[in-house]
Amino acid sequence: MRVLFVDDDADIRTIARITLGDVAGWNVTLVGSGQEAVATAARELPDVILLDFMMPGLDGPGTLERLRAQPATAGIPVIFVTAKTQKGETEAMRAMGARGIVQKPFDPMQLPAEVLRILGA
Amino acid sequence: MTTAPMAGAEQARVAELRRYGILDTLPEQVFDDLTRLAAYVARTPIALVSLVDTDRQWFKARVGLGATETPRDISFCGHAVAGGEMLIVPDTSLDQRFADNPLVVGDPHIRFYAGSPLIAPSGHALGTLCVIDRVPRELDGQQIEMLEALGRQVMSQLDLRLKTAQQEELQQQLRYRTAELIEGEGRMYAILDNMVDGVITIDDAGSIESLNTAAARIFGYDATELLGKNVAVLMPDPHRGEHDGYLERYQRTGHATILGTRREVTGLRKSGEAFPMDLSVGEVQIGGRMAYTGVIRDITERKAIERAKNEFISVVSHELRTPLTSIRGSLGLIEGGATGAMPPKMALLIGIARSNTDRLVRLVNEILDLEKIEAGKLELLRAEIDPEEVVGVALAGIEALAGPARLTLVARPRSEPRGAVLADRDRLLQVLTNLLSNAVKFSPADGTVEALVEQVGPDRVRFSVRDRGPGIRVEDQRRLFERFHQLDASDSRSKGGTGLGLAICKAIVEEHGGRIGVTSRPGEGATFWFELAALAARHAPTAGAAPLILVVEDDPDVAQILRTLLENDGYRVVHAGKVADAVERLADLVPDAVLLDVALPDGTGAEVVARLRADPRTEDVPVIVVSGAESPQASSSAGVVDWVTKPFDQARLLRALRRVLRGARAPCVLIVDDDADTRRVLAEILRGEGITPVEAADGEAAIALAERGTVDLVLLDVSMPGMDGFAVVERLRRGRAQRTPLIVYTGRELSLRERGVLRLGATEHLTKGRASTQELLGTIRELLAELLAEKGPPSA
Repeated sequence: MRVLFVDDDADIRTIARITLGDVAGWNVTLVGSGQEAVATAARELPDVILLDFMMPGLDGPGTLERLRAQPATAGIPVIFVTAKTQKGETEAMRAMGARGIVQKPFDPMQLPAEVLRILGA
Repeated sequence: MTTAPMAGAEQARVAELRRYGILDTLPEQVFDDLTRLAAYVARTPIALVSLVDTDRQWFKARVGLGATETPRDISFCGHAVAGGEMLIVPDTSLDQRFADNPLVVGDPHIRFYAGSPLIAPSGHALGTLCVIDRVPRELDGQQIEMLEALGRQVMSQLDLRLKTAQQEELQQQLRYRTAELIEGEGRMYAILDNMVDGVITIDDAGSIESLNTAAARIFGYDATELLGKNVAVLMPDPHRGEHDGYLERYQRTGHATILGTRREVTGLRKSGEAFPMDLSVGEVQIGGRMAYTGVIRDITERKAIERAKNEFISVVSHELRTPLTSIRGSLGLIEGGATGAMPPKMALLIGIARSNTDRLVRLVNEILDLEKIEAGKLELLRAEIDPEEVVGVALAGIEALAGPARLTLVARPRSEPRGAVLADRDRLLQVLTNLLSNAVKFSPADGTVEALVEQVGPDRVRFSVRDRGPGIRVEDQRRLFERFHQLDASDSRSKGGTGLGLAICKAIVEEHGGRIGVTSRPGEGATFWFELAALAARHAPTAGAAPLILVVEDDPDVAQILRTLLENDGYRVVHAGKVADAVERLADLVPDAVLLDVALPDGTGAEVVARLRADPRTEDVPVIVVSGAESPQASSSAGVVDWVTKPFDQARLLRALRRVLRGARAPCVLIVDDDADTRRVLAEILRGEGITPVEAADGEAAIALAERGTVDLVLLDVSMPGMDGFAVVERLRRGRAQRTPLIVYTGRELSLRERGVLRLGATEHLTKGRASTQELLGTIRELLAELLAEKGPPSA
């Protein structure tokens, strides 16, 4: 499994590296901005992208929009990782085309299983 | 002596005299001159302008006489007035009417009298111009004529004087009235100009007729700049271009969206800046023409505060959760063994850190929750819920937390009517879970927690959670439901509470229109309860309600997945775990469809089918088998309309269900467009395809039609007056049509984000004028095909 994890917070990236890389044994690429995510996704074509919703500069929805706009990355499933938890907000995220939503804070030991569950559903 | 007779119209005559307002006024030159002329013409020492009042004669002008008035009964003039013509008495001593008159026998010793009556235009004689001598004499014809002419002059002067007075009075009134008006108008302008709200009046063509200072200030103009301009200059596009059309349409059809209401619209300042404003419009008829008055309030500041608050909450939730994510993540990885085994004490401390992080997360969530509820932004997704079932789910969820506490579910007696409640399932679970976890926390080891559901009276259902803990003093009970109120902080903190749980419970219950409370005595435990309105006991699905699906499935996990799936799709669900349960359920309800597992603990699905078909009420209820087994060739499938194998494809299952529920009727497409011509054309095209069109001219109508549950596809315009496409989708998403396929068919170019928001079930976005009719039809067929695909039962 090749995962692109996008979050502007370096600590959260570290945790993602351990949980998705060391614990789950997946191939994880970490980037800290939407712009990097768009470029890296086009280059690496990961199986799934975990995308922070709120980021300075190009935010989650903006990044998703760019990913959908370039044919190579248009079909890659995107999971929003977000601190927004209100029902209307999560519905809007799904409506934007996200495959699923992981809420922050997440349980790192459960994160790989959660990603698989979303992709399988 | 004879007193002059009084004419029958004496009262009117006196009234006429009084109207002239001449009595008891100061001498005036013009009357004095005329009187002197009369004396000169008649060559008499005395001449008078005498006015005959009720009981006196009063002299306006006099020559040769000191008195200003004499009694009427002895007056000569009274006779002249009564006669209405010139009276001449050459020698009073020879005239029996006057011979013994005191004015004759005494001072001023009148021997000669000639009086020309003063006849008003009304015909009344008001008095005389008279000449008097102390010796008898005669007047020649010329003198009489002159005296008559002078009398007429006196009368015309009196008339002139009256008219001048009247005019004076009118002018005075006019001055008063004008002053009043000016003051009134000034006051009105002062009020209007000092209003915070802007007021603008336009005529029926949309031209600005007046505006107050606030209106000019709000829009950034000098007041005079705007007079006569079309009010559309104060609106941004596209309203600017459409306003004349609105007005014209309103005057033609009487259809208005804004009249009489207050709504939020966008205004345009002179600087080109668009700003949010509240606008209410009224109409008035002035002189047969319609005029419209708009009251405007600039709400830029209010919106900014709202935005700032939302932003603050968003930031709080983000800024708090981001570090919490790192902390929780790190602790979770260590606790989960990602860094290797730990010594026991370290594991204990890490566990404490992790559980307190969780508590902090809960606290953040609950603060945001409460804020949302109190701001009235909590949206309840109400559905019919079986109270017993939801209590069961809450208990199952709390079991892990309970640990040593033994949980007992006390069910209500079977004989009671089954009262469902209309509630948001997630929120109801949140309340129950909160009350149960409190009860568990405060229960002694090996204690009992009871959850009870009972019908209270005919129309309420009471949920209670009872513990055998220390109990709560009466004086503390009310404050329990306040924010951050904990009776014993140290105690509660050790239990991991946030102090917001009960405040949230209260808010949620009250949002449902229910009430919440506690009964307790120290040492005797506590019972927390809440009551919700019960729905009337129901034996058949009510018309218009969501379809009721009976799920017969023994595996609780699969049953839960099916329940969630179906409820999310707008169905109502009743669950039975075995054949006997299903039979019992079917005794008092008629489902719209049955999802059936084949292998059940006490029999087979075929027995359930047999039971359905044996009862005339349920013999036509469609059955979909959801089974781990492949569909058999012919056996046991009688009456089964579809077969879905586990693990099932959720989309396929929902399609199958929609198909069986729809039966054999033609597909139905709801056309939502405010333009009648567009609707007519689209309806025609659809009819040609064998599709039943239903038309809605506005959002409200569209929602009402979609909620009937018979619409297979929605064809939606976005730009509509009143409720636009976004609002319609927003509402549909919360109702029965939430998974209905949607084609957004609009003249607007939609951004990706807008497309993201404009979604229901399978959704396509087409641009009017860009997509051909063929393309539109192709899309409709494609979306309906998924729904309409006629896959007969596999066994048939």
